[in-house]
Amino acid sequence: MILTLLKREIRLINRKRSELLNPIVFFILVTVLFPFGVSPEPALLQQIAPGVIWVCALLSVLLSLDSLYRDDFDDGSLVQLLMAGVAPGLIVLAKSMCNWLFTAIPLIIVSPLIGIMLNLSDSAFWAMVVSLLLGTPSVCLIAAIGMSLTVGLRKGGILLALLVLPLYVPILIFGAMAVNAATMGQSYSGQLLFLAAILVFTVSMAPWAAGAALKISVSE
Amino acid sequence: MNWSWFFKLGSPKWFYQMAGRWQPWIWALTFIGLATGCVWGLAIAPADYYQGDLQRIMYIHVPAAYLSMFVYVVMAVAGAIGIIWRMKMAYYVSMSCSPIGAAFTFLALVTGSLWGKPTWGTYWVFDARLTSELILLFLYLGHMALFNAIEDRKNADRAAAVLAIVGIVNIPIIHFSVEWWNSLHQPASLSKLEKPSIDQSMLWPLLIMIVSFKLLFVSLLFPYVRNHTLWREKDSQWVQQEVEQ
Amino acid sequence: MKSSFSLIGEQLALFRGDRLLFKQCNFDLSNGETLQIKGENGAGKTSLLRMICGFLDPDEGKLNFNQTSLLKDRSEFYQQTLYLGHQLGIKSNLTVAENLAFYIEINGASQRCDISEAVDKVGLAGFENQLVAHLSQGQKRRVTLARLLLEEAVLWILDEPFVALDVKGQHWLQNTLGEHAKAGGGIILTSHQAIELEVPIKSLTLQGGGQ
Repeated sequence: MILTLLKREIRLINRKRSELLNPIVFFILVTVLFPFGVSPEPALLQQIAPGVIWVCALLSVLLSLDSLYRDDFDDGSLVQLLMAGVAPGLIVLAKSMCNWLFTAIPLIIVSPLIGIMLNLSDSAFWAMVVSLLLGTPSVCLIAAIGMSLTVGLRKGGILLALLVLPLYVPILIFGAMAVNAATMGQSYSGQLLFLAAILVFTVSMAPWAAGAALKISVSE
Repeated sequence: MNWSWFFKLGSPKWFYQMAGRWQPWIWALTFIGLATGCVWGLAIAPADYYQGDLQRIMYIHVPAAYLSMFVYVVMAVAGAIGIIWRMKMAYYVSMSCSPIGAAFTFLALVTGSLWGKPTWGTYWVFDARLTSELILLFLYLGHMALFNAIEDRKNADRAAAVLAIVGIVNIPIIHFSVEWWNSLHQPASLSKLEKPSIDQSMLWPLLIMIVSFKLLFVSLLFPYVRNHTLWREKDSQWVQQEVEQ
Repeated sequence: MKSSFSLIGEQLALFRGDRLLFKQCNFDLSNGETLQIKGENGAGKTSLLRMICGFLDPDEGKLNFNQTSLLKDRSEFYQQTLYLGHQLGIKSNLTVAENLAFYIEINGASQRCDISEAVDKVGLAGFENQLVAHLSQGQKRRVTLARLLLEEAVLWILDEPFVALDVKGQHWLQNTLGEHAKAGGGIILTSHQAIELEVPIKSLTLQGGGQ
């Protein structure tokens, strides 16, 4: 069943490929704004780079979510999926997987470029890529909870951020800290393990919560 | 075991009248408790060796911080009861918790930063506990915003309850991660603020204050729930009779 | 033939916000029967259908499908029903055939006809590989109606199925409904217009603030 759902999502995403670029352009644009606001000083940029990259990745994922859920909500597809007996948690899982594959992965691919522009130290590249790989699936799943709660609202965007951003704090802490530790030449496997633990936890809990939220939103 | 009391709680009318009867007594107890605690804590208890009278802000700060988390737990548990047993009254309680909890959180933040100014030399540092409190405040604000944004009240109840449950699962993780982050970022000198094993002479007024704050929560909760109940049940017969009287 | 089913609603009441839509609403339906829900705008026809489908909870009353309460278990109900609402549930970025193929995949196919035959029958021959975005409102409606032929559901729940259809389309739909009922299927529909089937139609009228 999940394969059928994934196939459908991928086909839909494929039909509007241009939208896939938006979160990536947003990601690059916002990170590039920081040197203007802070300072072009390489040493300083190196210091803030891990945090900037992580925060911008979180925001980009958050902004990419709307079309993935809202279209299905507005045209009644969501109702039809539920009427077919598809578990709402499964719908969320399929959407989150697509969200990760088509938004988070491209972000991770361009992140070394941002790293170079922000003068991230060479030793931190792998820490950045691996921490993003481990952290972004949780980001997608937690965002799915917020999105499922707000998909029925016409102006859900800012509310989504208000609901979801506080929940991102642990992921941000461990993600950025892994990169920081690598910058300073320390071991960062501890932080990565925490990210992995959070991932296991969100994979087992978030689809359930988001599914319940989705059912509530549909009964609007 | 007789569960009828539990389902009685589910009746808005019963709860409304019960809360109305108990309200004055709980307020009276709250005032007695707060007065005793304040006098004891602010006047009788000894001043701290290092911080002097400044430390007395603890008697407000610690109970407020404790209550800010306690109220969130009540809110999430009530929300869960609402979802599991489809009990209206549990939702009303859950929704009434968030403004009160937000107020306690705000109080804890304000007293915390007032305490911080003389001890740390600044109103705000990203101290682990203060930061967790700040995030908690955002969780409360999100809960209220979500409830108010959804037009259909029944859906708003359920959505906000789901959010409260998601929040309660996350709070320990957030708290732990912030503490971990903080211990690496902040110089160790701050840890002198960690309460050393507290002296009995300070412990008693603090405990009294914590209990009184809990009573204060109940005294605030009752009118909130009663109002909420009247608003939500405004079409039912008993509310209209109540209003006429 | 069609598997047997029974759907019974007893003493149903529903509020939307503070407003009572209906109360003491009773109905029952089994194989071969058609139920038309009537009522003025805002009487709660769509809400009643959504309640049967599980997207709204009744404030009072019982709703049983094959003797099991729908408030507890819907798995059997979902297998045997097909719901077409105001929102069509078809993706404008997919072609007509892709949309239908997806629903067959998740709902299971009837052996009566394949997609191209069904598309022919609803009068969309030649549009099979067109994106739904390029179709008119009436044509989109026909795409959803093709699902009636393609899927094996006993109970059809249709919200204003005649809307946006031309005379020919309405005629075709009435025939299709009649055949389904004669073959032992059940139909619940809302419609403002009088419909004529070859089988008797039960009706249920919702009046504001009670039945």
